[in-house]
Amino acid sequence: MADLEGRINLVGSNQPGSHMQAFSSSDAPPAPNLPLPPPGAPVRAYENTLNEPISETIMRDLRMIGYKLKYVLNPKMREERAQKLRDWDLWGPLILCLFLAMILSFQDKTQPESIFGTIFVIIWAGAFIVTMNAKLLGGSTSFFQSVCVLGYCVFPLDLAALTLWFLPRDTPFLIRLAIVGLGFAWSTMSSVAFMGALVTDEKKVLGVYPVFLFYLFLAWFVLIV
Amino acid sequence: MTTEMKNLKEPLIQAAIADIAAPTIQKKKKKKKDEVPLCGILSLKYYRQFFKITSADVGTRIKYAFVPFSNKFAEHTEDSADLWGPFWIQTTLIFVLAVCANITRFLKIKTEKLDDFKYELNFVPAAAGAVYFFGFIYPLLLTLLMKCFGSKGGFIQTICVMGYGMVVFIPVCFLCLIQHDKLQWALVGYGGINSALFLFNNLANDMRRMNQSQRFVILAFAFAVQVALIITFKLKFFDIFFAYKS
Repeated sequence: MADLEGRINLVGSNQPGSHMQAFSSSDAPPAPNLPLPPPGAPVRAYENTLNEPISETIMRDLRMIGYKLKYVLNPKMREERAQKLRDWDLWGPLILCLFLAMILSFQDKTQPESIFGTIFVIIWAGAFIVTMNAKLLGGSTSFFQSVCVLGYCVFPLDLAALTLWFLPRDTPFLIRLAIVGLGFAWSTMSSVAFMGALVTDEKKVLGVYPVFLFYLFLAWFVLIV
Repeated sequence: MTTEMKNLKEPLIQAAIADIAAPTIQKKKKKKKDEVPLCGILSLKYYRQFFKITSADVGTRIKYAFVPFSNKFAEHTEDSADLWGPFWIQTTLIFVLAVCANITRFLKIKTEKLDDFKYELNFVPAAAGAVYFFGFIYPLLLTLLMKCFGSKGGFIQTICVMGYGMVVFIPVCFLCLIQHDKLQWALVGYGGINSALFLFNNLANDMRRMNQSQRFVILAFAFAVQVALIITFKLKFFDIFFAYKS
């Protein structure tokens, strides 16, 4: 009997702690019919996100995008990368793609719609084709995970395009080439680390070369516009 | 006593049956995994068999593509035609064509002092249309024609041969940046001849079974298409008359 009581007390003592966790991380109290989260579980899943202000929702998505950018682009965080990238999202790639297309179409005086559409199609169709290639070679990845990584790795080319936009008109071609070349190299290194791990060693070049071609194509557009 | 013995025997009998039936059950399971669904061409599984090559294999095949007279390519791809090579060689060729066409236009405008250089985006879809037509649709038509004449060659094999045959055009494009008209014609012509010979050499086995007039038809068709390819590449991408459109 005492044994039972002891057990009930233990169970009871877990509840208030997690209850307090739930209250402290959001303003709205959890809905009455939702179960309380077990101790140690991420509380986010149990929050009632309908009542929070829009700014909080947007900030959470932006924070997630920034988080992923940091992990995708920092070449030193190799091992942790695989874990974080499992939960893919397509907001980041969409924002980066739009950013690149807009910058390039601002610079173009004659046919801005054409270049905007071209960049958009190249990024998404290219990511699709490169991912299909990895899957056909026997790679074991979810389709959207790979598209997500390829989209995030466009970020260095975004920076290169932005830099070129602010440079004066008569900078020598070699400097522009160097900046775009740096962006291209950074993009390719980041995504090759991910794509190369998908296929077996003997097919590594077959899996990595399309990634190289994809970023080369984008870099060429950034350079000549 | 007898029910006890029966209870002992039951599991033994079941185990024996399981042992005998195991190979067939496994075979059935395996068949289900490898089985290609009804509309196989539209599923991913069907195309996986054409991507079972290694990087070293692709390198070797590209090397053999530059030497149209030897039989090594045919021996190498005896049972394993692949689609990685043709598709990515053609995509690279599209990129190289678009870049070189723009550079050619830039150089020509600079020398003839026409107005400011504007890059021409239309080269990309034009190159894509031309290369994918010659690389995928033309081999399909050719194989169809050959099948009408009783050949046993496959569609994928012809696409594979044609795709690898186009790899010779990549260095040709880079060399065509040299602004000398006759040299450009010579280079593109050499590319066309190389890929045509490569194609004929690899189809020779299939063509041996046909009679004279059938062989003539196939050769004439292939020759006409190769000439069209040479002319399209040279005029569309490297000639100021067609390349410079406002």
